[in-house]
Amino acid sequence: MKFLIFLLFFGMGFSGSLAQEISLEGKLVDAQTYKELSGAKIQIEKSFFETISDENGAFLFSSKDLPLGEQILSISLPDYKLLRIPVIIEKGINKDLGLILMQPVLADYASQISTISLSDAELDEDEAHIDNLAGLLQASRDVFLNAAAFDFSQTFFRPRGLDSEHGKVLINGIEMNKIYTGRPQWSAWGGLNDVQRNQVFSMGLSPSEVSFGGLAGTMNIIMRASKYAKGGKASIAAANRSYNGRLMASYGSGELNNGWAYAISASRRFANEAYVDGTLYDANAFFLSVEKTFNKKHSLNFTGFYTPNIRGKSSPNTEEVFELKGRKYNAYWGYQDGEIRNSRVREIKEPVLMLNHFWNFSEKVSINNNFAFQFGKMGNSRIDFGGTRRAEVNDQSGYVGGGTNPDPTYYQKLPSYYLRFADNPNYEAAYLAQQDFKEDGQLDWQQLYNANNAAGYTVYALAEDRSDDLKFDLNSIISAKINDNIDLNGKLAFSYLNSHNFASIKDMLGGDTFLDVDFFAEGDQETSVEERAQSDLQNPNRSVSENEPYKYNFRFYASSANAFGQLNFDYDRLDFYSAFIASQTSYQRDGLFQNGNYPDNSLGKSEQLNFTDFGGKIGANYKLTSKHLLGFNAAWFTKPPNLRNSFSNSRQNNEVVQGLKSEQIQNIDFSYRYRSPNIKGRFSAYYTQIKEATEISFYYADGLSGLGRNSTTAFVQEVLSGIDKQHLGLEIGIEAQLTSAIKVKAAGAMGQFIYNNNPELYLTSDDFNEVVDYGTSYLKNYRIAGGPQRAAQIGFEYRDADYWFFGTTANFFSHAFLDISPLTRTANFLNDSDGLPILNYDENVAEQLLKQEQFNDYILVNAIGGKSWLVKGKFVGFFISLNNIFDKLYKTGGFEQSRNANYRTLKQDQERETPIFAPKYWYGTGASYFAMVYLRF
Amino acid sequence: MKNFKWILVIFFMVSYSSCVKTEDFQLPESETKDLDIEGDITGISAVKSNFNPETKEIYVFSETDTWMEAYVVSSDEGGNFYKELVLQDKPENPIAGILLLVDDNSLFETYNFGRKIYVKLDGLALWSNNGIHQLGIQNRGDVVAIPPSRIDDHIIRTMDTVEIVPLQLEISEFKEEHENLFIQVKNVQFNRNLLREQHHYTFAGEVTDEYDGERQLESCSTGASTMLSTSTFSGFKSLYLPENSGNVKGILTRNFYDDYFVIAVNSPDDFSFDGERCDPEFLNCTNNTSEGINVLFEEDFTNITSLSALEDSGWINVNVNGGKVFQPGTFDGNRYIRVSAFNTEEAPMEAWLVSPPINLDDVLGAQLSFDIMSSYDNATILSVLVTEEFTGNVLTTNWQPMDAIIPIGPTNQYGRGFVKSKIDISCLKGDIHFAFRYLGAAPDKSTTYDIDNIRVSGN
Repeated sequence: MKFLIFLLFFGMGFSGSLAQEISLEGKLVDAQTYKELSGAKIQIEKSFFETISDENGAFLFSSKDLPLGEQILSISLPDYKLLRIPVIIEKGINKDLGLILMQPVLADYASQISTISLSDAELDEDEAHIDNLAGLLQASRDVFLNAAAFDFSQTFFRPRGLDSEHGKVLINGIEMNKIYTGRPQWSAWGGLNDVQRNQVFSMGLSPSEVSFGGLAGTMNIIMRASKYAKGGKASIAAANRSYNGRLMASYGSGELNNGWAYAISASRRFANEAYVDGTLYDANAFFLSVEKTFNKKHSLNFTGFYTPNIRGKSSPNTEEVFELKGRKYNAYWGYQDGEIRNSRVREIKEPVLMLNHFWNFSEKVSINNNFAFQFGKMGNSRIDFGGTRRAEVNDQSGYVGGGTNPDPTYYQKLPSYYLRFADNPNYEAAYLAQQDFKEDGQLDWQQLYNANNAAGYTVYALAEDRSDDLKFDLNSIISAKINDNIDLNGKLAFSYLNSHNFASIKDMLGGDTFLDVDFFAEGDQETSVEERAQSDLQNPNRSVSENEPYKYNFRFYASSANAFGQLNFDYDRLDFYSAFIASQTSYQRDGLFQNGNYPDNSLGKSEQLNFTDFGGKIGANYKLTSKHLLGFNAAWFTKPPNLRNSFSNSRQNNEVVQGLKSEQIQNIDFSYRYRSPNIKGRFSAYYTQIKEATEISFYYADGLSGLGRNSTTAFVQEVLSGIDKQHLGLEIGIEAQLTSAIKVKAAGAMGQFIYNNNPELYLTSDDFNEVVDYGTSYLKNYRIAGGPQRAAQIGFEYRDADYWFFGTTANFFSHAFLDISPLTRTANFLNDSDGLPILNYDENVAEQLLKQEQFNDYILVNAIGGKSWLVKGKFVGFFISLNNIFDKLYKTGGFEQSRNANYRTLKQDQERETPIFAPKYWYGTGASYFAMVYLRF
Repeated sequence: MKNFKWILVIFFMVSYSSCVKTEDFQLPESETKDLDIEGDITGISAVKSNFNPETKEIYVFSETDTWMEAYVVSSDEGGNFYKELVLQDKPENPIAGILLLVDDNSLFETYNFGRKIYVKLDGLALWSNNGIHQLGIQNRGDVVAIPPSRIDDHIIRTMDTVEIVPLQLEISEFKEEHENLFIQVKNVQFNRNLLREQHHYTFAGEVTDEYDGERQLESCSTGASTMLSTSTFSGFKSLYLPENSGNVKGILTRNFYDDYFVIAVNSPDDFSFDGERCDPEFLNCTNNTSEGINVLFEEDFTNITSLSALEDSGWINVNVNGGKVFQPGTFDGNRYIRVSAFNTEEAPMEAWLVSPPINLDDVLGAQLSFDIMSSYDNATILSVLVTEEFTGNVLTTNWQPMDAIIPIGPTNQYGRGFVKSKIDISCLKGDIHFAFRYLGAAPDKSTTYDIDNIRVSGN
């Protein structure tokens, strides 16, 4: 409340009417389609006056201080040629320039398409903790962010080292970030690039009209039928990255006489096998938007899109596997009947339907009400090799069967396994394993079918982890012009999620049904194995069919309500803003199965988690001269933990993460901008702290202490809480237009993203009865993994007046780090199974063992080029992009396996010539291309 | 509108240009291939005869085109066999069996129970380990499992999976030649000390079980006993032992140290225990568990420092074959009486310790109590008996067994403590004698028992 009063006070101080105004206005439209162009930057050169065109393309300068006489008006908008118009401004005259035609630059249009195709390459974020921010950046016209989006993204470089959960993506003012992960799920609207070109991007925490935003920026994609220019586009592309081919077409009606407008788009992207072996890609996209403008005050828009998307994943590999099979190797697939079949397939089918009501309440106030509904399924497949049958002795049931891990890179199948005893290596078996792996080394589907056939019941099945979401959003956005200098933005938003999570069998691989018990369950004195093994005690020893929930089954309910307010003050030399947010978030789990390991807290509803969060931010830009600008942003806010980090073992029980808190985020950044007609540049420094973060991960740990000798290995949920992270660094971007055709550019980022404290770690597992608290994990000053922390680029572009262009960049990357295992940084590392220190513990050796791996530096060279022709009023063109031309080999990410959780096991493994549980890595794409021809009419 | 039509064409094109196979994989045809065996066929006995038990040298088959015909009789489905196949020569009335070491899991999915296979001997090695003939691959001084990449070279499956008729054996008939055969023993039960209310044993899920859990099976017809061995990695290790009696099918093999025979089952299904138990008729007085006020007899062995001292106190200490008898012992200042077949060569070793007479006339609520500790336990071979009419000769006396708790001790170490038994003898009259009877057989039935604090009380 205090904050609000502060805002009002602040606002009033600068209000008050100004006398003797001069004004200059105009309206920007596309030279071909006459579509109104919003978001263009209009500046009176050599002055402090600049403004942005509104959604109808109109702009207005109005001040008593407008420079008089001959001035140059400079208008810039991505994808359009920079326009410089001489105007004469006279005292007391309101000048209207009328329609101003902007010439589209088709080459830019083409390169934008290429960027978006890069961001399709989302890695397996759930497994790698790597995600992609490139999609967020593509709308930017900033030199540095362009470099980050176009050229740095292939290495998973993240501006300011931030996870994509810190970037907000909105469509028509509705937030699209997933409540479960907090991250935007690009694939839910992938393949609709043609109809997503109206984007408003706010970098970092700079103000957005529709959202408080996140640390990494805010993007609002406007997908309204009336905002599309009349005309169509079609393109065909070939590539060897995440897909091999793409067809895309779209058409917009423009505004029809009767007030209606519609737009449609469809695309298909496909690959039987993309860059990495066995990675299929099959994505279709459909889009429809219809808008009716009733009168000047009201219009109603419907937008719906559906982008079913199937993608084969690729495995991270150890150095050993890489040496034998190379960078394109993927362990997840094998041939079935001569066709590639990938066992880990991600399938997303989540259509979105939305209604948007636009209401121009008065000249100065507009209100926008939105309703969105999203539903559908997301599934990640994997092979379940724990199929069993029941065996009985005198009314007791045990379960026999269970297969072996069919993963061809399972450690027991690799040469290193046979050489694990230094004093008794089995060279012959190691050699044979090596030959075998080199010659085949893929998943053997036939063997799985044969096994089910021979066993007479389902031992192996293709299972899927499903999450079927139902989400709706309701919000109201108000924009009001309080006076000529002050704008108010406000938003009230509510969203609700009902997420049904379960596993199901996708394919029995020749079997009939699957016995739904946990093969790895063990009985003890209190509970029999039969009880323990049940996924649902309500319905024990169930045989499930395909597509029926098994293993786990629960719902998440999440709701969030938030209020956002912002005041923007805009004066000649100074503009500034202040914004606040308040939100209330609640999460609840509702177990549909009564799990045998947790009979008492798995069924029914969990306690409801509630988080109340507040935050505020302020910022300003000050123009020292028309060429030199200074700016800063400062923010403090709290952010509720993501749903995925709130329940420690949600698949099995209602347990809530102990001491769960909202994250506290503080950020401050300064920037200096320089701009002249030929040179523009930016230099920024930032400092961000994220405190009290929580992360949950799942893995199989070997070498656990304090649990006794017999239970040193277990499948665990690791809860790391109270994590503080610090991100600080510099960004620089500069480009110079040497001639009208030649531009040179340079960009660089130097960051340091580290853990800033020693968080607490505990493990839960169905293998032990109580939570095991390992205390402090000594992470302070370890680097946060995920892309290089330093990157630099130099490049040039040549744009011929005859509609062809060519550009190339050289990009340097360094300081990328391996993701460390927090468990090995706890006291567990030096404790024996009885909880006392390991004998022969040598600190110097330990230091070596725990040193974080830094990946090698590398340089990637990219090039783009294209040409377009105007044929009978239609544009025809082609575009080619080449990445990593010199086929440089580099690691994009990787993680330590947590199997060697203590000093003894880790040392033993590291001392082997080839460690068995070495870190696993992802490798970047080698030389690759994207080529497209397109038609625009 | 012309443009719009064109767009529709593209829509159509996009939607139907499906060329990525993501779903709907057909069931693969199961392969039927003809056997391709060139060379001679031999049997398991012939293969085993290559091993010289005198020199114990590893025998390596080389430059031979001989194949061994065999039937799979083990299954790792239940987790009780690990990276090995037990093979026998015939589905019915087998003569010889052998163990084939195969470095792979889930063998049951391929080499299922009853499957007829051929094993290519060229390159394999034969030795005897843990008392069992094993085939595998030589790695220096060891014979190790056939590596995964070589399995298909050495083992060829036929299309035949046949019914295996278990060889019917009595426990007393177990011989070396039966090793690695699929057998059935009828009318057996688990030792009653494994099924006590206060501690009902599981197959292999006790904290004391390392690698294998061994549980004593007794024949109802002959009284002979053997061990059921279950891996601690088996899927049914934590199931409780069945209480009834009946038949069990399994592989006859040796324990890890090659001391005695054990039976290993493929799955819990191999038990059909639906008969009544066949325990001897124990002395069954009323249910009087409280100790009497008066001590009628007491022996804590404090003064028994020699065999003669024992006899002087009225005890009869005798070995029916004239061998080792009960011995006085001491540990930590405590004296007790001990019996063990360990380090003897007696098979059987039958030793009796008979108490002096105790008169129970005019005594109400008489109770017998004593403590027993079991060490280096490889079989439960102690029983406690009582009589009202002792003839002076243990063999001619009519003894009645008593339901004493004979603890199951650790296999490879000294016992963890004494366990007290309290037996109601209030229905006995006159001069009674009770006796501890040890029936061991070196080296495989040689459990050491310590007995102490014997007391008879009454009112």
